[in-house]
Amino acid sequence: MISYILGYNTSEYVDETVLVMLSMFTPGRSPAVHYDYATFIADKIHEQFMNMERERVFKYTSFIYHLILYNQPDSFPIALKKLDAKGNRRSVIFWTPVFHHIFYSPYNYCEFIDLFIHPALSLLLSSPPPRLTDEMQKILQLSKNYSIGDWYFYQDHTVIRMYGCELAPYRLPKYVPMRLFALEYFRQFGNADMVHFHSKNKKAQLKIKHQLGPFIFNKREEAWEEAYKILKSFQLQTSF
Amino acid sequence: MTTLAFLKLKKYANQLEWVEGTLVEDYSEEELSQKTLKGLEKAVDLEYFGQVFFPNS
Repeated sequence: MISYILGYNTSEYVDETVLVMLSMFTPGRSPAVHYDYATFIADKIHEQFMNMERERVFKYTSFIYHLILYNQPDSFPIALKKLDAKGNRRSVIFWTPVFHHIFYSPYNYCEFIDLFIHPALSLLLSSPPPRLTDEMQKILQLSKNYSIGDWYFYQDHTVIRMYGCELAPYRLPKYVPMRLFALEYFRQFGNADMVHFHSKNKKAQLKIKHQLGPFIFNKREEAWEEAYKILKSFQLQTSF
Repeated sequence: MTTLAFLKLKKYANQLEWVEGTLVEDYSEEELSQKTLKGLEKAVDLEYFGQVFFPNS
């Protein structure tokens, strides 16, 4: 019943949700069980990194997207050339330089997501994915008392800013994939943690595990550097 | 970023959707010329003869 009311298809999240409600709606009284939101965030971010080596970002799904492009080309807001000079239909992989260039594409990473991945996902799902999912928004702003960052919707990009981070945030795509959000979250939270807590011999605020996807690390700095390297490879521009 | 600029920006934090007249990218001259160049590359690429698929070739 609770699952149904909350709009979940399974009871998977109900225990977490009930604990959050217990924590939030019993003013003046501590609930018997405290909801460990920091662990929830750590697990969610960890899950994204663990799947990265196997799935990359769009490794296998690109085949499905080619088929979607072939069958519903009008749903994509990108320039396509379906016919050759003689009026014959060309192979779908040559319709746009989004895919057929291996080492270089005139489309940058943000354009690739916004102009290709998002329209394809919108066709696959019952409703278009939002610019920032509810899950991402809750990670940044669980409540007025538990907020660790803000998001900013620019016309063509989305920016997240963790409180205390001294790095310039990246311009993320307009529609942010969870895996990219996880990397940027990790990079910024890592910096804030290092600057304000770890370097001052205070207890670190960010809970992390000793393995992040393909790499195992001994020091926190090593993991943050890896997240930074992955993001750098996407050639994102900085904001602010 | 100055305090004033940050306060102005903070006003638009955590919106549910982008609203016209709020946050727009402040592209530098270099970024704008890059965008123009990339736009031309995209157009040229679509006309590139090497893309034409000949199944029997």
